Amino acid sequence: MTTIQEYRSESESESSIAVELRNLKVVLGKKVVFEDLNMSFERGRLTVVLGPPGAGKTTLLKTIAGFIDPVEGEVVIEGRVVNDVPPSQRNVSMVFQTLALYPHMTVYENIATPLSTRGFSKEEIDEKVQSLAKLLKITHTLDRKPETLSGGEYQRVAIAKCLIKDAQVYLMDEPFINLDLKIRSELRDEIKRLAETLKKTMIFATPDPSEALALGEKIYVFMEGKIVQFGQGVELYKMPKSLEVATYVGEGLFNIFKGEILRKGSNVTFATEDFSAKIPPDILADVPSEGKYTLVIRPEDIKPRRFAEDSYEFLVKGKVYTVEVLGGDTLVYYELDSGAIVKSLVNTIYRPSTGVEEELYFDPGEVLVFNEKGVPVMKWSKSI
Amino acid sequence: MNVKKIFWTIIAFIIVGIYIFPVYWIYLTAFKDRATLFELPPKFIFTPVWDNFDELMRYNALQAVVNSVIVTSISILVSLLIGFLAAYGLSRYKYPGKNLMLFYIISTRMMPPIVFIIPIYMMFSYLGMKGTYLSMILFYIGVTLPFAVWMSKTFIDEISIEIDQAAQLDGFTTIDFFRKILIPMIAPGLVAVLVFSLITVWNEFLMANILSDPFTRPASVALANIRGERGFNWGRVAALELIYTIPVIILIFLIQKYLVRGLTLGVVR
Repeated sequence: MTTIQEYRSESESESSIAVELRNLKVVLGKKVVFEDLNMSFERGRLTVVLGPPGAGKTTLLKTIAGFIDPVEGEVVIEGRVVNDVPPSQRNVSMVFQTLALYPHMTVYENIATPLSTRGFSKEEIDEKVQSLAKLLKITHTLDRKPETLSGGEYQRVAIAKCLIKDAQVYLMDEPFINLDLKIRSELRDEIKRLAETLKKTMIFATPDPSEALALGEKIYVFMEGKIVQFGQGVELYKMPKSLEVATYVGEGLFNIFKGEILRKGSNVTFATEDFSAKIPPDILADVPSEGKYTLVIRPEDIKPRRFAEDSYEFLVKGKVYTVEVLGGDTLVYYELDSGAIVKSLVNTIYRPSTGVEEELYFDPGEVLVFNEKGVPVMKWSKSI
Repeated sequence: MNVKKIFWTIIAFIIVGIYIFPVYWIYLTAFKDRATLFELPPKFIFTPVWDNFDELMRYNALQAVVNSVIVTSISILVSLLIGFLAAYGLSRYKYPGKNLMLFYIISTRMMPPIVFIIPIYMMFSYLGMKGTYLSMILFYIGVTLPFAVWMSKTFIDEISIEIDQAAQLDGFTTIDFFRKILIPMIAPGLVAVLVFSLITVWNEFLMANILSDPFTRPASVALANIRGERGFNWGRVAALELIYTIPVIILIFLIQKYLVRGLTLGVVR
């Protein structure tokens, strides 16, 4: 929790906090969704809340919006405690997970509702709708009904409807969840661009680590109602605070080995049934006592011999299992004797034939070591 | 057109014919005089006469159809309104005893009406309301309300709660939210509720028979009472039946579009 506390006190001096949650406790039915939750969101920036389904992201956003009342604690929006303020008066705007467009109204009417109910003039509304439609490239859909839109257009309309209101905070609840990858990355860039140009406070919830990393900025990793990590996207990837975060952010991409740490004098080795690798003791915080540990190596830190750098250490021999060419990079899957799979990312196009045995090397400076409780035992883990 | 298509078209015509023919026969009968009526083999082409309708006018039987329209329209509209509001509450809010309440509402329809015919009669005659429109209207609201609540609830349940929440953020008042968002969205469902209630009330005989008097009696009761002085006057009965069906036919034509959508809601996506 130290980071958040520090972050808050540091930011409060500049008073750049738009939304703050203080010691929040929310109970739904009999389930305590979160307890003693403290979060703060910077003004004019996009903050990502990343968490697997069921972590409580939607509950969090709906608590900020006012649809769910906290049992304890305070929700503060722009310095005002809003616990007793109904959603309609909180000055928040939201893209819902279901997008919640009104099916019987045209796209234009949908986008315009937040203004038309508040008595804006027709000219004002028209100007705003047209400019947002242009910004989000949906001008051609304005006269249509939502059901005739493609998935991507539908999402854009929902975003336009959210942004048309001049709110103090914009909440986005997994808006891209059901889209195909291409449109998803397109809209992701759009949101990033909008956040930068409009300078609005946005809170973006997503279960997709790659989406969170792409949106960058500050990311809260939220698991089972707790903040397990807070930081920049790169930080999550490079320095996950727990094995749980590493596995989640690595999204099945990271190489995870369970094994034992053995010490012989100053030498520390990590042994599994497939290999035993040397770990440089200087990256470890306390030279760990012998016992069971988990080793995580990112695929870009494992390379076949010909691509390995001098500082790399021998890891294991593996047979080429499958090869995925990803643009200019290649992801090679190797099968070990035990049947375990090791993934290696090579920064060029590389097509070894299946079944060929290769020697794999790894960057010992980049390994992540976690103890049995999932706590990292690297040096940097003390500093975060 | 292939054979399969022709086959199914013929089947469809047969089924429609089975349902249409009795109606057709009644309509035909309404325009026959006594002599043509009993002719064998029956005549399909004859000179239509208006005698039966004239007779109805003389007996003021049309008032019965008007009574039916009054009683039915008021009771089903009130029941729809109350049912919708109750359904909204039951669909959107959580409170203790909710499921029990839902069960209790539907349980009132689990016994046949004949069971409570005597207490209802006693109640209304004790209140001095026997023979009034109000007694029938109140009773029919009670009869149709459980279905109105349950059916409306199903349709509201289909609408994501996030629509309600979006409307709140959009600044709609509750009334405007119902008027401009929720009701248009579930309109086909509400029409289906309306038609179910309509069929129940329009055709009800048992309770109408004991709650009405000669001036307030609806058409269903009137039909049973205009048989005629000497023997059964089929022509007169058929004529009243013809008039009796007209309001419903007009209504169904008007709402047909919604009705099909409402009845298939949740089935076809």
